Amino acid sequence: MSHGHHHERPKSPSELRAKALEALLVERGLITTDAVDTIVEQFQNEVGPRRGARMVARAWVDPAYRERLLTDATAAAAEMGYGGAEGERLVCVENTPDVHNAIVCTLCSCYPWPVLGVPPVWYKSPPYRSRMVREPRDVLREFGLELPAETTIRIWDSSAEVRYIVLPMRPEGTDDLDEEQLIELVTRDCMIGVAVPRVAEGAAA
Amino acid sequence: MDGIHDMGGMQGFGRVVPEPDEPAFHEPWEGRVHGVAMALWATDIPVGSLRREIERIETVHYLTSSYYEHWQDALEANLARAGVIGPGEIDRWVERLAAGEPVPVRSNPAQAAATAAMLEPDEPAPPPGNAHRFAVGQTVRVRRISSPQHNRCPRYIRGLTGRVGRLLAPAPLPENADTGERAEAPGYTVAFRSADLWPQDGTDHEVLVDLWETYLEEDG
Repeated sequence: MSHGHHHERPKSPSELRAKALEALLVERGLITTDAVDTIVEQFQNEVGPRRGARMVARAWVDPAYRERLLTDATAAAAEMGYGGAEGERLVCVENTPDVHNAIVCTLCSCYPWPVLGVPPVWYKSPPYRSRMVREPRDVLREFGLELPAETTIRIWDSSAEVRYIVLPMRPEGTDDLDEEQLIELVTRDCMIGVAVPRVAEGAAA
Repeated sequence: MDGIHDMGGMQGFGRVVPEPDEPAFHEPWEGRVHGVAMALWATDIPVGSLRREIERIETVHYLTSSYYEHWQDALEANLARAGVIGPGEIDRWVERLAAGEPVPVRSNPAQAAATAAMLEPDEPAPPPGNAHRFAVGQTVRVRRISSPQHNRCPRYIRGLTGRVGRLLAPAPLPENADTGERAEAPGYTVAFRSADLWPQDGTDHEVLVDLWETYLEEDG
């Protein structure tokens, strides 16, 4: 990754202040530029929802992995090489025909970084944080997800140390898809619980 | 602290607005703030959790500034509180940058590796242990917490009852950020019925909240 941005003229006051903090800490020898670079590169290129999607697809094709994921998601993530900050205590909650799960953090923006990356802006926003615990059906409807009236909705407020990920249901009509193809169906929003996996029209066998 | 950060159940914030194809960081400086925080956490510098200071951001500013602006404010506050940075030091660097001076560059592969290791699997998740006062299935009442200290007991459940679902391993208390102690307590996932939380809404869903034992008491 290029370090060109270190030499551009700062634009906004926030950018200036952020650069000033980094400059001060690097000048003092308290942190290094490459340490900051590695985190940026990890979240831009490696640590994102693709990881969670791989876990979900694995759970769909491998009942033993699914069992491990639901029993100890931290270990199930670690066996795929995923873990670390904001994922030290992972719990996976499973959608079924009767139960739909979704995650939120009403107090800040807790999110399972190692398997979903950094959270989207809407997840950190006051509308989602305030409304998801109180009127989830309305919020899900705005996301285009209309659940049957008899479906039990469970909203997990990650207010302490556990970070949650949703295991969505494998869509019908995907029996002929292999694990790699299934990964493509699993979006970030499916693992937050504001969407369910959809098979593109004409794509299913 | 009963601050604006504690948003669960509040009304009037409007619709959720998703952004298609959202990048991890919208501007390079946001990624730098995230990276600076993690680089600090990988060292022995006592920077600590940012939540206490984020909750102390003045209400109007909290609502009109972004997530990474909150991080920046809290990082500055924590570093000042720990005596790592002195008054005016950041302001002086702002002036130097505005005058065209570049951000200094320093490399240390060992420190970069230690920082990168924060995003790698570490120890197994701790088992729940056997120090729990309440049992799975038991009905518990949430205390009417009204402390000015940092805490993680949302307002929307205080004083109400729920059912213990899962036992959680002991973890350091959020209040340690104020007290300077290293106290720990076991935790619980407690299930609440929306009809108990908001009786006039006419909803019927479950809300599951993770709570330290210190926030709970026996029902009745």
